[in-house]
Amino acid sequence: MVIDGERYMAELTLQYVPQSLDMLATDMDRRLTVTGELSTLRIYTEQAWKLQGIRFLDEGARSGHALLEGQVTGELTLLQRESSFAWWRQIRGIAAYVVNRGLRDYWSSIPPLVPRQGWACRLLALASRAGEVRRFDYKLQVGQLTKGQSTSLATLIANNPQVVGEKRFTYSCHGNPWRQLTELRLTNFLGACGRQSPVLTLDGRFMARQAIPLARIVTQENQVHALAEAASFGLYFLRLLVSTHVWSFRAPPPMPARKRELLPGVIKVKGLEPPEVIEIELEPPRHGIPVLVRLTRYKGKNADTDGDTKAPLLLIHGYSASGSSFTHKSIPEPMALYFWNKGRDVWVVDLRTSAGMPSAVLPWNFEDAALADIPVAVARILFVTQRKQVDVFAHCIGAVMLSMALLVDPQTGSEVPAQWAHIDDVDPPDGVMPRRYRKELAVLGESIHKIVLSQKGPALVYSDGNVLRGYLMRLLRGLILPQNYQFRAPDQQSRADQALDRLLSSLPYPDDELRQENPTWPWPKNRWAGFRHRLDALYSRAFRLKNMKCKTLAALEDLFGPLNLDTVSQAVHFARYNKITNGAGRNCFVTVTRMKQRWPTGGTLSIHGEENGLADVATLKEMENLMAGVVPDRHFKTLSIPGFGHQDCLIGIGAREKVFDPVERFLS
Amino acid sequence: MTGTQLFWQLPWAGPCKLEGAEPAWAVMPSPGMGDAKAVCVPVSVDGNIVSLALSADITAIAMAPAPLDTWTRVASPAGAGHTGFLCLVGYDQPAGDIDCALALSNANVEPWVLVEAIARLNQEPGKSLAGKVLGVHAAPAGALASVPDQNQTEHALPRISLTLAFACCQYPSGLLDALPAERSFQRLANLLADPAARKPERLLLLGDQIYADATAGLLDPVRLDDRYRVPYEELLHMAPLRTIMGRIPVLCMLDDHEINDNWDPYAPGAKGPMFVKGTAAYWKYQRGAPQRNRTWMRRSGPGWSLFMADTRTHRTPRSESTLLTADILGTEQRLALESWLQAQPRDNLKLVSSPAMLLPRAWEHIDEPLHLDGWQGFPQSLHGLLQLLCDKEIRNVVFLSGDAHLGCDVEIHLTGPENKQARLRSIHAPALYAPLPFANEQPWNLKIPDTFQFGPANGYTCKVSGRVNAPHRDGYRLLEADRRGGVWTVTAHVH
Repeated sequence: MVIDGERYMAELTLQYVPQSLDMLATDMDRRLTVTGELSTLRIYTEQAWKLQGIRFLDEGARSGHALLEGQVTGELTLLQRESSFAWWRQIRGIAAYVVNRGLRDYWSSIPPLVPRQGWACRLLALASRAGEVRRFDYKLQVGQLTKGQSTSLATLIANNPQVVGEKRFTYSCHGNPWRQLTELRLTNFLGACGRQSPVLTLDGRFMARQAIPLARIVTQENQVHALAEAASFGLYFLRLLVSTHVWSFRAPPPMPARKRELLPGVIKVKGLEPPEVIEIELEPPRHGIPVLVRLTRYKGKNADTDGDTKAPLLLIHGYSASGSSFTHKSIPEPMALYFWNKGRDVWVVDLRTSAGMPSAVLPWNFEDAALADIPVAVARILFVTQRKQVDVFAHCIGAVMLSMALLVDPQTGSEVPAQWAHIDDVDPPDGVMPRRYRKELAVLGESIHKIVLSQKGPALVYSDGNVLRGYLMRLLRGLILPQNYQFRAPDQQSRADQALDRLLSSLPYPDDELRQENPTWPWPKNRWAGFRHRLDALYSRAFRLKNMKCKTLAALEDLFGPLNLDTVSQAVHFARYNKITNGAGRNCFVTVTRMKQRWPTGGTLSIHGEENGLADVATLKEMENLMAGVVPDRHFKTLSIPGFGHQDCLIGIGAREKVFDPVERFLS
Repeated sequence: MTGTQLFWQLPWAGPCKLEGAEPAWAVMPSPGMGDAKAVCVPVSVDGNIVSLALSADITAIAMAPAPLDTWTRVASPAGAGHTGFLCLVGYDQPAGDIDCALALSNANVEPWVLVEAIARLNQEPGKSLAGKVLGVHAAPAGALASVPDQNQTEHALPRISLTLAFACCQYPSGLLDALPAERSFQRLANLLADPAARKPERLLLLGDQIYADATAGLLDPVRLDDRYRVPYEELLHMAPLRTIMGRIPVLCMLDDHEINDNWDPYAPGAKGPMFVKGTAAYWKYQRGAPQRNRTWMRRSGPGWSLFMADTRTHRTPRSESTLLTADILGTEQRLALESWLQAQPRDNLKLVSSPAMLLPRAWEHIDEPLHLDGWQGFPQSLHGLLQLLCDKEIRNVVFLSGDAHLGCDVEIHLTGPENKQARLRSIHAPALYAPLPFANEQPWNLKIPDTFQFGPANGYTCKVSGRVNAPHRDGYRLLEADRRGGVWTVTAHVH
């Protein structure tokens, strides 16, 4: 918010007096009283908020940075029905329906132009429900200030102690149910009101950090009764949600069948020969599935000449993606092609976890691939090219795996370092201990010259949405997602699959993405929407939609693919600790001493999309903290990429200028 | 970690008060922060400010290496004018903006480093460092020492008081019920903080401290090792339990839910993956010691002795054919218990704890012991123990148990051939948190009063009388035992 030309951030924490659940479910006047020492209003300068990373701090530390802090009392009236006439609700509902999906529904139902009998009545009935407004009204009062009494803000508050806000829950044009529930518009706050009034957004990181949900049981006769009452209230709430937002749960259009090309292949460019492909068997097949690492070489123009001064470049993909992230024809300019054009000998690796490899569906710990596939791949590249070092670009989990590989003590003697005891203390997910390549690991550090870590690294910060997601997944994964979860909806969808896809169609994207994904006019094709929803159900927001070409979106299936939920669940530990850990959630990799001993000193660049919905851009700050004192300043750089999200840093429009060029400058 | 900077924090798990005269605690570093070093120092508290109160002649303090996933013992160096102790963990991690990073030259840390570390932690807003100081309210070391009774002659036995808390069965909280789940531990923590209260010197946790199978597989971790790790992480982070562990030693025995619901060996020596992982996790998190075969524990103090029996992992397999010879303790433990009972001084209070309830018997399946999981399901073990107690006329025996999720307190009168007799108590703790009524024992099912014959030619009689305490209530029991004039008075209220 802006006050007298200064930008501020406001933070409201509310604690309610316990209320009987059945009263909330049955009473017409549902009211919660706000009180308690946790109910506070804090105001920070926007500069402090950003520079100090306040949203990552715990409550106590936040208080120290607040410009102003005061106690808050008041009340919340929830789920009150806004008064309206039926005809007005119907008009509102139908108008929103037409804008959001009505024309597309009509278009897709052609040829049966003749509507079924009674359709108008049903439409009006649904519209009447959709057009109703349920309100959450906050009427708060800022009481005694505990900090910042002498600031000008304090005077403002003294003159306007009332804080009034509302959440309006209704089916509206490009309205999203979850955003309506988690965003509070302050209609009266320090004298500000109207359309410019500030909006407060629910802090998912706070929820995960406190490990408490929005509601919790204070007393109970027993858990059976308590859960039954909670379920009763939940069902009541669900009824409201569904009846109001039934049109928000639109089944995504089916994705047309296509032959998937998840592995790097030929890039049709003059002068670039078909790639060399090397497959290395890492261990015996599991359940009949081979365990391989695959290298695809786009041989540099000068690779065979003595004049080639540039080290080979190894590109490592992330999880549930594959080497196609660097090579696919639908990408405006694939990264592999870019660097080949720059005269590089480009090697794209597909690890055992690559979406293009059959072993992707097996359960792995990330360290299984880190301690075998990466050192083996690097050793093979050096052997083939007869070079001493490679440069590495590692994206997302690929960067995590590279960090693991670099930070293990590869001691090959009889004495087993404690670090390995932790690594091997993790149950192999399917019962067979994966093979480690200690000899190759021992020389990995000296085999790598420059490193580019994209979006993640040995230190990392997950986005707010993913921290909350990780917390919920830890508790409820078995209920939320089926074990065989995949991004492409099965051809023969069960009712549960259909319900899941409809639910995911309400994911809370930003306004521009909601509009792009739900165009008013019927002809734009967005058959990728369902695939994207399933992707983002796991990753929060894998790419910024505005940065993606239609052609790339149409080929999403070639860029993201099969995964195993057990494998990806390891990232829940990363989200909890902001560090990479083994499969058991133990950080046996990252310490300052180990970084000093083992991290290559040829130079490291950490890059991050500022609008990354998966890992927060604060990752760069964490990396700076970690690297300070580990390598000289000149050997560690960061690059924050404005306007870019996660995967679009590789496959998006403008990646060449914003990402590849700076990376090339660093590598060169 | 030499020559680097440390990132100082309070321990991730613990500190847990260790038994012994000298002040010592066990701490565990954060899984996300990696290997660390730990230290415990004497401090004084002035208002909310904590400061180092080290003896002036100490110039270096040894730091204990604190590896991941391991309890590390930290003892305090000598203090001067201290009112408590503070445990700190130094991680080999970069410091954030608000935390301290201090030069460390070697494994010993100079006092100024800790002065600065504590000063920085004092400044962290919102964190009450004073609230983390240990020992200020703890029972003083040597509280078990005997106190001469002025009313007794010098030949009479000295007056002795013993206070113990015992409890069991902490069903994990779900997404919504963390507050009720912690309430029993919170009551005990409040008791320990009450300067006027008679405080327990130890807490005995008699089993089912975690539920590896809390939702029968529905929402339990998919991976087996997560089932034996995640519940412990949640337990160790329960705030009131942490407070308790910092103030009094906690002795833990395991029961079925540390492994799996109603775990029984399916063959002699059977050790499936759940048993292996469950017992390994028990030793790692609850015992903080290298795994051994013998799980039972013995403790003693002035005028009292304690045998913590394991009625779960040493039991022998049961079937129709082996029911009459099946042993709930296993041969080695049974012999150890029998010899221990006979070896204790006659006037000593002999406390025998076991997860399973010795008596009263349950009505349900009274004639089908194979369906019963506790002592009643092992007739040979139950009758053998009662026979020994009667034959040797062992006095002052109190059995403590948990598991049934229902508190009760019964007197047992044993009579046998040659007019032998013995009296003992069996006190059963309710669950700390047992929110599922269908999993709880019902008062009507406990056979009180009860009389039955056993032993050769049914020559022994066991009479059980008493009552159920606080049905449908969670909590712990506070055992208060006082010996006056050679007579023990034992009460065990449910709190």
